[in-house]
Amino acid sequence: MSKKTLVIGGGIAGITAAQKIAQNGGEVILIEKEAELGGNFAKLAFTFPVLGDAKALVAKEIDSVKSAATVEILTHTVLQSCQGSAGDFTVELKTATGTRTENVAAIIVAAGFHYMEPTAYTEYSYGRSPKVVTSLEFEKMAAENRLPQGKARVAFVHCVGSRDKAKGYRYCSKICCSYSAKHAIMMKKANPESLNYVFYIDIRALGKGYEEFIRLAMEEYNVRYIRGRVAKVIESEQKLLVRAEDSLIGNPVEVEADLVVLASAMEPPEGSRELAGVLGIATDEYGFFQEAEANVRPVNSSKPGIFLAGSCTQPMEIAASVAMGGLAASEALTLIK
Amino acid sequence: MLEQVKDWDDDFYEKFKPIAMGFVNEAEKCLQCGKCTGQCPAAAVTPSYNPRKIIRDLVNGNLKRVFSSVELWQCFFCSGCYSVCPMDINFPFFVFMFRLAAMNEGYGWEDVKQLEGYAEKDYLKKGITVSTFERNPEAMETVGDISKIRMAAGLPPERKVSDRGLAEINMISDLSGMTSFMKKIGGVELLDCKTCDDAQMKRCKNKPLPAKVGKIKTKLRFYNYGEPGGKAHAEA
Amino acid sequence: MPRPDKVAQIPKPEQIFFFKSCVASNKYPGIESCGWDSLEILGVQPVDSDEQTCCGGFVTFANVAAPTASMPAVARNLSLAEEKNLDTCVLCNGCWTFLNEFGHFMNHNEEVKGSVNMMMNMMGREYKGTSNVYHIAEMYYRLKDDIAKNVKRPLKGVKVATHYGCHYLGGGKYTAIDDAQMPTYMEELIEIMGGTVVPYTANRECCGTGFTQIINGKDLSLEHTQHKLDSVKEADPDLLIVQCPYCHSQLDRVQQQLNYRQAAAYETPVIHITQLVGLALGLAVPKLAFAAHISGRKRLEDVLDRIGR
Ligand SMILES: Cc1cc2nc3c(=O)[nH]c(=O)nc-3n(C[C@H](O)[C@H](O)[C@H](O)COP(=O)(O)OP(=O)(O)OC[C@H]3O[C@@H](n4cnc5c(N)ncnc54)[C@H](O)[C@@H]3O)c2cc1C
Ligand code: SF4
Ligand code: SF4
Ligand code: SF4
Repeated sequence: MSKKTLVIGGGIAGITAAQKIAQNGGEVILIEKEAELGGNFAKLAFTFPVLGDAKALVAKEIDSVKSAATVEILTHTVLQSCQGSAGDFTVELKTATGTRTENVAAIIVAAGFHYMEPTAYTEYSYGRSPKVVTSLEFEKMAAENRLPQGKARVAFVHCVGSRDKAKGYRYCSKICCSYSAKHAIMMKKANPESLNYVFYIDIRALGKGYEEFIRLAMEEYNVRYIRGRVAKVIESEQKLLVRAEDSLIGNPVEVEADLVVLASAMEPPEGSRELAGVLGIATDEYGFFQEAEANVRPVNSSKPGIFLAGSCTQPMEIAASVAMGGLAASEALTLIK
Repeated sequence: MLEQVKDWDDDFYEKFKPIAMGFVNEAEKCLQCGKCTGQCPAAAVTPSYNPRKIIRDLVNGNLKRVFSSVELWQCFFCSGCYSVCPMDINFPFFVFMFRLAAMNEGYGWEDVKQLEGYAEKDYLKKGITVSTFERNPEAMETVGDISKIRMAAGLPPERKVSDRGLAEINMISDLSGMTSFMKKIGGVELLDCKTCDDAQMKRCKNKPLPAKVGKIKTKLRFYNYGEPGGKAHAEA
Repeated sequence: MPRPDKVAQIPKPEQIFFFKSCVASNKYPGIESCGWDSLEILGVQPVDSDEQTCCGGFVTFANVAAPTASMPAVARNLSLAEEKNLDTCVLCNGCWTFLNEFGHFMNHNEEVKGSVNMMMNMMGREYKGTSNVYHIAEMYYRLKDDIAKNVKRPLKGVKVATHYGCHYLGGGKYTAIDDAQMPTYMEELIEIMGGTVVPYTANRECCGTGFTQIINGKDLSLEHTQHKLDSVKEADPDLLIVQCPYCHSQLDRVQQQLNYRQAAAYETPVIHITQLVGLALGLAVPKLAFAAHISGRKRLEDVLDRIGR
């Protein structure tokens, strides 16, 4: 019988799981469908709540998993079929060069999340005005020093695609409140002349140091928080008119903005239902992988021997993905002992 | 002013839902996110108007505030709020049903009275709600005789609804209670603002208020959701 | 962008029941004549009935008629089309939403439909719910190739701005053929007919008539319309086109009222999409009935001079 573990997805959750198994003497095959490891973490410029250098942080993790002797990394690779049961799975992998069959004891699914393209939000002029971008595009702009110059007004729009039954998902994406604060701070740091406005419904920043981080944005970086979901963004000559209700006052307000940043939803990874079908495990109503029990078995899928890690189960931040990766690793280790 | 929650109506909404024939659904889904108000044309011209607040009062059961408000009668029925609402709440339908409920409580009859004429004189007599009659003398002067224009365009001088058609809509009106409703509210001239004395004007935050509209005693309405706005108020 | 699946659902029938509009008939008859003639040219024969009445929307939203009174009125009007086995074509956003929304309601509520039919039966009619209601603008979009083939008076050099109107796009966010926030089908039609589209900031703003606000809350109504008109004026189109006679009346008439009240100078001609299509398809000038229009009459004449009478 095999002693190997298959890890699907080379984001931070998958990388962590692979490392932990290797450190405990297990063998791992880590498959990643893209060319590079790192997942969405690698697309960020900075991390909340301490403004860590994302590129450096993720590079360190990638390096250490690459140097682990018992981890075999296969990029451009996806799972094609899966037979068997806990302790004895036969999996067929489609690699860049062909197919390959392996026998593994455990499987960890760490397929991450997909960032929603808010094309349905025509009221926000997304897709029409180049000055309306998503938060992920903002990370890229920040990394490439393309943020607006001078006395620019920037509006950050919360809950785009989240908490929205009509055009998106009913759930809350959990971390966009925090990363929008991060973006407002990044904006102010990059351009001290800029004026930043965050439009929110409620602030959901739950984690160590998160509340303080939001307050930091308000207190130290003069970010203006306006309670009200943005109703529309209208193009008007060179400006964007952002209209919302300031619901703590009860009056509509308008910001003439130079850039509008949409905090779009974290949705299930592309093809999650198909992957679940191949593995024979359950997904929830949205397509995230379903845990066996939400409180004490968060990394167990509906099938013994298959474990879940990171943002493929629900929207989550890096720290939680890492924690889940570690727990999934220790579950997998029990099967190869 | 300290509000007493015990004064709110605990189950009005649940009771109202079936009466409103499905037009007042899913208010409990409202997130209080304010997207509706941010896009609302009425809110953009008068700050006290706020659809979000009206929904809030409905769900909480503070109906006195909704029903006795002027704001309930300020919606443009533009459906803009519905078109952006993340929860698909069709607020203009709420307003429509709420106005009926408010009338039941004795509010707003003077507004409806102003509109009743269209139903009585045009809709039921001619089958067409908008008549050729021009209120605005200037418009009349510019346009002239509309029947001539119709004829030039190859249409009959007047659009006529057949006798059978007219009989049928009158029958619908009689059977559905619309006619008796109109009888109730007809027959009383509205007061003119100019006839009010200063003391009355002070009390009246609103419009000319007749004591009675038809056989119904009307109640005062107030700006319950804040200071009224609009240019007219700013100048006054 | 128009939704292809919705557009594909619109038929191209030989005949269609032509549902007239109160405002169109009595204030802007050109909408009626152009609507009728253009459909004929495009190969769809309109069918009239003098038994049709107002859709009932106004008295309903004026709260004079409760839904119990307006449901049968809707059912009666739709049954006229059903008797002829035809779908219904309307000229007005209000008629569209009202007939659609209340028709839909009855179709999905057997109890209400049953009691409405009791009343219908008393007058020898029946409401089945088989006639689909289409807005004439939707029909035009469906027939856009036929329009392109039949353009006789290209709108060359004519600057046209659009106003879609709330009750089609907003109220019909799941049923209209285009996106509620970023519609483009009218722009497409204008370009097909050779016109130039002029964008303006307040395009998607409401016309301000607010159903009854223009009567009961005139100040609010005028103030809102003025915002809109200011934005239109800035873009300075030759024509502002609407697809709803009620918006038409508001935008046309309020200009004159504002000019009178504030000594302002709003002079943009407002015409209905039927009239624009009629113009392009080469209908005789009296058929367009521009004489019934109030604002920008001179500019209308200029346009006619430029593209040929
Ligand atoms: C704009 C933005 C800003 C953020 N800022 C922060 C921040 O400041 N701090 C913070 O803690 N978090 C932040 N996050 C969240 C952070 O990106 C996630 O918590 C983290 O990326 C989750 O890691 P993961 O491994 O679960 O998923 P991912 O990073 O999504 O990685 C999943 C990997 O799996 C691969 N994969 C998917 N499906 C398959 C398959 N079928 N087969 C093989 N491979 C597959 C993908 O290609 C990807 O490489 C931010 C997120 C966004 C969108
Ligand atoms: S985390 Fe904040 S911005 Fe994101 S969906 Fe939740 S409440 Fe909205
Ligand atoms: S937009 Fe919808 S959910 Fe948000 S406050 Fe308005 S009604 Fe409620
Ligand atoms: S329908 Fe009424 S509440 Fe809704 S946006 Fe229009 S005016 Fe405002």
